[in-house]
Amino acid sequence: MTEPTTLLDVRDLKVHFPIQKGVLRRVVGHVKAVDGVSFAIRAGETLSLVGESGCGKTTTGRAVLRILKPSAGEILYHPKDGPPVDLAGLDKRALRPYRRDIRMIFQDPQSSLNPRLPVLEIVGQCLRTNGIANGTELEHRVADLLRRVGLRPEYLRRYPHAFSGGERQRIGIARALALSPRLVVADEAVSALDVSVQAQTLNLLQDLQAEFALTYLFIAHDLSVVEHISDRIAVMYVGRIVELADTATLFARPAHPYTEALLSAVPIDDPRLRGSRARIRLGGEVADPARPPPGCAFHPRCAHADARCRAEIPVLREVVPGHQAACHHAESLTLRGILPEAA
Amino acid sequence: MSAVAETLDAGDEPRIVVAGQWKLFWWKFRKHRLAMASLVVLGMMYFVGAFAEFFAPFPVDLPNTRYTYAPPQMLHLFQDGRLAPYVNGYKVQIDRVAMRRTFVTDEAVRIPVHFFVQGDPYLLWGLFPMRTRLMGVEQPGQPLFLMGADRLGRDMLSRVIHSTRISLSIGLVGVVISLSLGVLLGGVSGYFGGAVDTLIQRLIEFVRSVPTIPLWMGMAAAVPTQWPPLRTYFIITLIISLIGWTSLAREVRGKFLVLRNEDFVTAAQLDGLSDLAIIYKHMVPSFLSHIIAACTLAIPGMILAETALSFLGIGLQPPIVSWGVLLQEAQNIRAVASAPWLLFAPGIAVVSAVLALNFLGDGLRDAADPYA
Amino acid sequence: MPEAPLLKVSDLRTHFFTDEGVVKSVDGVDFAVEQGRTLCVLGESGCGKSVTARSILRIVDRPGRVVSGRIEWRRKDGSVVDIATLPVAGREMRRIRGGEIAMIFQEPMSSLGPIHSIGDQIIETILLHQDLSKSAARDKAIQALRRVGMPDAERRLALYPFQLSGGMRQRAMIALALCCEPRLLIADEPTTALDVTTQANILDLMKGLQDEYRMAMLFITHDLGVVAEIADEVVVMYLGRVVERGTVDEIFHAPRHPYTQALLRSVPKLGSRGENRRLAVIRGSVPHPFARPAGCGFAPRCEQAIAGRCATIQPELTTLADGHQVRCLLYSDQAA
Repeated sequence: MTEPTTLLDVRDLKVHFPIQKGVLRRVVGHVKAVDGVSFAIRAGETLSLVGESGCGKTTTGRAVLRILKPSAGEILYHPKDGPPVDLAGLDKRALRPYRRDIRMIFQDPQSSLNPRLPVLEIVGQCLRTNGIANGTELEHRVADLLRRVGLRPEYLRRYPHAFSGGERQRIGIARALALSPRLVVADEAVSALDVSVQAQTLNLLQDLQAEFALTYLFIAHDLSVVEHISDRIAVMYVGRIVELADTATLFARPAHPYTEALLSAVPIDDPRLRGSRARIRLGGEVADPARPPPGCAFHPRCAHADARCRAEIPVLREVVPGHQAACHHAESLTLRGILPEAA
Repeated sequence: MSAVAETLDAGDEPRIVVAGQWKLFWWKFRKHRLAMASLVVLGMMYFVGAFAEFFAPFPVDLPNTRYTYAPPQMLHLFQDGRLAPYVNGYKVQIDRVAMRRTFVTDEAVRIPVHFFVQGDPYLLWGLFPMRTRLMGVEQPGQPLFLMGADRLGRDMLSRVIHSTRISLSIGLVGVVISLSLGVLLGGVSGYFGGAVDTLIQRLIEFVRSVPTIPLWMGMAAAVPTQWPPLRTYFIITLIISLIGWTSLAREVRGKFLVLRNEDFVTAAQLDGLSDLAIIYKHMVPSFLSHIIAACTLAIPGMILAETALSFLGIGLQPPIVSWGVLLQEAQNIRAVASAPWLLFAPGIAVVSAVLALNFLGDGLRDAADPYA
Repeated sequence: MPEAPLLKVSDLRTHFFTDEGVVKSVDGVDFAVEQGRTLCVLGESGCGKSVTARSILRIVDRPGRVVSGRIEWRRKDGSVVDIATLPVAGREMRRIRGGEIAMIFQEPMSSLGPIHSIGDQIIETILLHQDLSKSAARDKAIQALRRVGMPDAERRLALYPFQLSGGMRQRAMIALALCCEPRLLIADEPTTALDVTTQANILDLMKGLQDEYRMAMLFITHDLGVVAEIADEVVVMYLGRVVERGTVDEIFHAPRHPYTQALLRSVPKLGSRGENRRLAVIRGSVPHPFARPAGCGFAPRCEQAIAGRCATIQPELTTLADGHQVRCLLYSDQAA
């Protein structure tokens, strides 16, 4: 096999939201929702962004989709033919061709489908707008898409209220696939679903990935789902990536104390093993992204923090090949994962 | 995957799954009994108002000096066991102590009432010459005062019917003007945001902070009295709508702000839709039903405003009749004491129209979000 | 003879009388909670687990109503009262609600009022249920906040709920629920809205408090991981009915009902990656409440359904030899 090709290269991405006060809307500060995030997505893989609420994973996803305008940084997209483009700097018109290649699956199947439009319109809208299909041709296309996501093609005249949560999510997936995208950003795509429906949806996402050679940027907080679906995982904390590694390594040998704590908090789904795992209890609270502490944002809660952690912001660096971590002590710490080392 | 389909097919009535928003809206509205009844009442009122000349037994200004302040008559439908509507005539008694005439019903005189009679000629909507009226008497000059007569012996029923047209249409026209202003300014405010938004919001706050009655009075008083009645009518409508648009503008702006952050609007952006297409295809349909409800709830305010202005004598002037004008005419102690029907006839019309519009508006508002 | 269970629910039915028809949200639920033990009610959305909890406290929203069944509650003095027959707003119900049985919710803001400080709210609850002076109640409130691990409790007494983070708010709600030392705590998805690390802390806290007070817990969740962590016994619900009831070990290691078995298989397991990347699924989705199957509610989705029988016969809850209960025709001949 050849070297995996990079599909998307995010470099030092920053998204800051101004905090405005008073009648004159004076800017009194910035919420640094995403503050210097770099990662690369390889064609055909599933890269997951995990972290707790407010860590900036959703904002990162939305910046990649250019729903938001990044404050700084580059989002280098490698189109099928031609040189890489920096999506961060493009305006609405220039973005249009790339909107077809990068699509999104939303978290809430309720609010992401316009209740006033039938499925045909919801799924077919992007085909019509991009001048790909119209009239009966559009109906055939949408029916075909519905079949691919496991819904009956006859459903295309129905309205969203006629579907269950899992089926609505399938409609959302059909919409994402309609333009034959290369990258799909799935923002908590299965979090709102029930366990049994979640399993169906995860299987569907994997089948579609294999069928259409899709690349996923999977944003989630449920670590067992993430472990199941991802090739590589990036852990975020207060606007930064603290660790990035392939799934097996991350779960077996985390290199950042926050990852270790996060993993240890995952409930063990076997009552016989109850209490067998040493749980790391994090004290304090997640730092405020408007006023992050100096140095490493995790240091107030970290058991290994020293003077350097309090002063100097650690950069994300390669600890061992393919395993990046943003911790000053990544090499010297022996951290515990929750899965045995792969043979 | 067929199991998915089966559970669905078994679960839902087939018609609901393909029902669009207006169907769901109607199904939900239909359950609101009071609103449905109000809809029927209002429908009848507007119908009567539209064909006022046909429904009124007499022209609006036909005096009958023999019967000034005549009390309401009872309409008898049957005579000797067969259908032959009639009203009783009046006997005049002179009260020598109080020095005034009083009318008492004269059972002996029976004045036949006919339906679809050829009465005084009129131009329907100022265009079509017609003579047919819903009901009338055989001879001109015979009394038919189902709601009594006023100080010139004019039939109150005919006057109330004619004023229904003016009063109800002022509400409609006023709402149309308010709505255009409100949707335009509210939409601009909500869509562009920033400085434009701030400016429009401050303007709205300013307009709302001005006390309405003195403002209306000042502006209405400035309308020259020699203007033709039709122009006065439009100017008064405009004055009333000047306040009304603010609440609609706020409503529209609020909806815009909420919808702008909805996931399905984001999805439409990602689908490549232009801003205009998003507004037209996704945002407007989402708040249209709310706007209809808000408009319905705004009409009674307009009607009351016109009534108040006319009652104070600075709104519409005779010969135009509106409920407010009629009430203004009843504005003296004599009318209240000896001819209360002058007050009650237009009063009941105002109250029932306003109540019905409010009930209807409530029903529409509840049905406005059929997905809740 | 062993003591009667603290709470015994038998054949509970709570129906909602809507314009469109009757929704049988809870339609045959039986379980018992022993003192000092944790019973988890497990089920997917719409299975009636939350309505069950609300029925116990008689706080079902209209148009819902407890239509039949018994909710036997053992008072402190050993007498047993049937909550299902008490007047909803009566004095006795008010004393039980909040005093003897407390409840915490997924969304803390639904039990913490936004316009009073958390201190005021806790003090008020204490004064409502206990005969204490105001200063004694205040001390008790500070203690309650300390016990739930809220640092700097004295100062936080004056804070309003919106000034606290999600995890702290959850702690404040638990403090509010526990301030009157209830004998049963009903927790309705208390950690679902929380992040994993906060969830772990809250679960630890609840376990610790339970040991301290010998309090019983009725824990409602859809999360199998949480069940494995905290439950002693488990009740699995589907479409308003209890389909299986047993100890947590039996449920995880020897599930009997096809639904429980399928549910366990469909959850991604840590470390199972690479063996098989496809998850086992339960086909279809939960039927619409107006379209309940005539027989077993799970029959249309069940891999082991017996043709012609499961679709028509409503199975009874069968007690097996080991005390395990299951509502499934596959076990109807194995009744103890």
